[in-house]
Parts: sequence; C-alpha cells; structure tokens
Amino acid sequence: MNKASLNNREEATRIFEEEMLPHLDAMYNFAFHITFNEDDAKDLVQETFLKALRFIHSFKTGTNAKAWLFKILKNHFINDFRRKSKEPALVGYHEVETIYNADEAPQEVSKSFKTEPFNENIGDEVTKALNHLPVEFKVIIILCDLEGFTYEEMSKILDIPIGTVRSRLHRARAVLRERLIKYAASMGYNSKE
Amino acid sequence: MKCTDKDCHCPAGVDRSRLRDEIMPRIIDGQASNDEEKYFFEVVEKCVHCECKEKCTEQLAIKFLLKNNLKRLKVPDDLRQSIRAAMNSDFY
Ligand SMILES: [Zn+2]
Ligand SMILES: [Zn+2]
Repeated sequence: MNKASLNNREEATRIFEEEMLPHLDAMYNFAFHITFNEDDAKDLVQETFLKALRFIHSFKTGTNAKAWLFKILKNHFINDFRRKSKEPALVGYHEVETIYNADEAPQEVSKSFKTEPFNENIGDEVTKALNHLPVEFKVIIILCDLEGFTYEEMSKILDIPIGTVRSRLHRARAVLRERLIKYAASMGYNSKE
Repeated sequence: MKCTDKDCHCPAGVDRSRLRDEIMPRIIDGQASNDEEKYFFEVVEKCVHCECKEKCTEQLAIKFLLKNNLKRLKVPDDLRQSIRAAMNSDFY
C-alpha cells in the first residue's frame, strides 16, 4: 500500500469502515472509564476519530488499528482533553512519565497528579476501586484487563518500555488488591482453583 | 533469588524472582508460552518457599472481578452517526 493510494479517498473510507469503526464500542468504553462521564466520553471519542481521519495517511494498513486508535485517544486525553476540562493536571504527562520511570512510589505520583474530575465514591465496589486509582494506573488496568491488549501493544500505546508496563500493572494491581481482595472473596472469586 | 533449601524438591537453581516478576504476570495475563507455563506450575507445585501460586490466584481473582463487573457500554447512536458524517464530509 503506497502513500498515493492511501491518500485516495475511497481507500481511506474503506480503511475507516473496515479497520477503525469496529473498535468504536471499545474506544467509547475506554473513554468512559477514564472520564467516568458519558458526555466527556462522547467528546473524547469524537475528537479522537476526527484526529484519526486527519492522520489516516500515517496509518499503515494491516497494522493494529485498535492500538493505533487507542494511542491517539490516550494522547488526546492526556495532552488536550484534560487540560480544558474542569480540573487541569498539576503536572504534564512527561513529568509523570519521568516519575514513573524513576520507579518511585505510586503515592507520590497520585499526590502530584491531581486528576480525578469526578466523585470517586459513585458506583459499586469495583468501579469505586478503579476510580480511586491514579489515572495512569487506571489506564493500564483497562487496557490490559478489559481490552486484553498484550504487553507489547500497551508498550506502544503508552510509549513506555515493556518492563514499565509490567511494573505499572503490578503496582496498580497491588492497590486494587488492597481494596478488593475481601470483596472478591465475598463474591466467590477467591477460591483456590 | 535462588532457592537454596537442600530439602526443597523444586527444580535445581530455580530463579524465584524471575518467576515472580516476569513469568507470573504473563501467566496471569494469558501471555506466557507453553514452556513458561510448564516451568511455572512445576516450580509452584514443588518449591515450598514460593508464594507465586497464592499471589497468582489472588491476582486472577481481582482480574476477573474487574472483567466481569465493570460495565460495558454501547456507543450511543448519535455519536456513531456524527462520526459517519465526519467521514463522509470533505474536510479530510
Ligand atoms: Zn525450593
Ligand atoms: Zn514464587
């Protein structure tokens, strides 16, 4: 597939129809879980698709469209979307990345990374626990456990090494474990095999 | 971190930190190779000092709890329509 034909209108429409639109539900769910607001989720997905349309020439057909879209969505959320919503982040994404990559305690990140624009006490136990997480932890849990992305795909979506994917997942799960292990057991999830 | 307990029945020289930090996460997330899986279960069954089986069970419980309880939404029709409209418009 050369660039000339990708610029071709018909081809772009086909790529969109066949490779992008099937991921609309997954993207909407991702957007909903990181914003916890249906209107924000709609705006976020809409803006993501507009960006994707604009940059469709940089998409290589046959590569992972879902990961490509999720990366645009995540970047748009971190860089633009939150900035204009009610509570702007106190630090930029790259500073946060530095903190994470330096392998510091997650508490420190959540202190400096004020991100929850919603009431974290809404909803059932599981939703509450997820909403309680710092956004970077929440994102990786959704990508891994809800969407089933591989470590390699997450590494590309988040622009971090696989080792960081693993350690971030590990720390996110340690926090979730504290909040949910008793609840999980009470729901019959903790049986030994 | 190797198991050095002479009375333990685990495979000789088993590297428990590699098991815990690298193989276990892949087991939990369904990304381990067959060999890794075989190795993992051999060690957790045989090494009396390995806590990976317990940890693995716990983490899987949390993973499935999330998977089964977080609500999954359908994209609203008006959003689908406006994305289609954008696709068919001339701006890109
Ligand atoms: Zn042993
Ligand atoms: Zn172990």
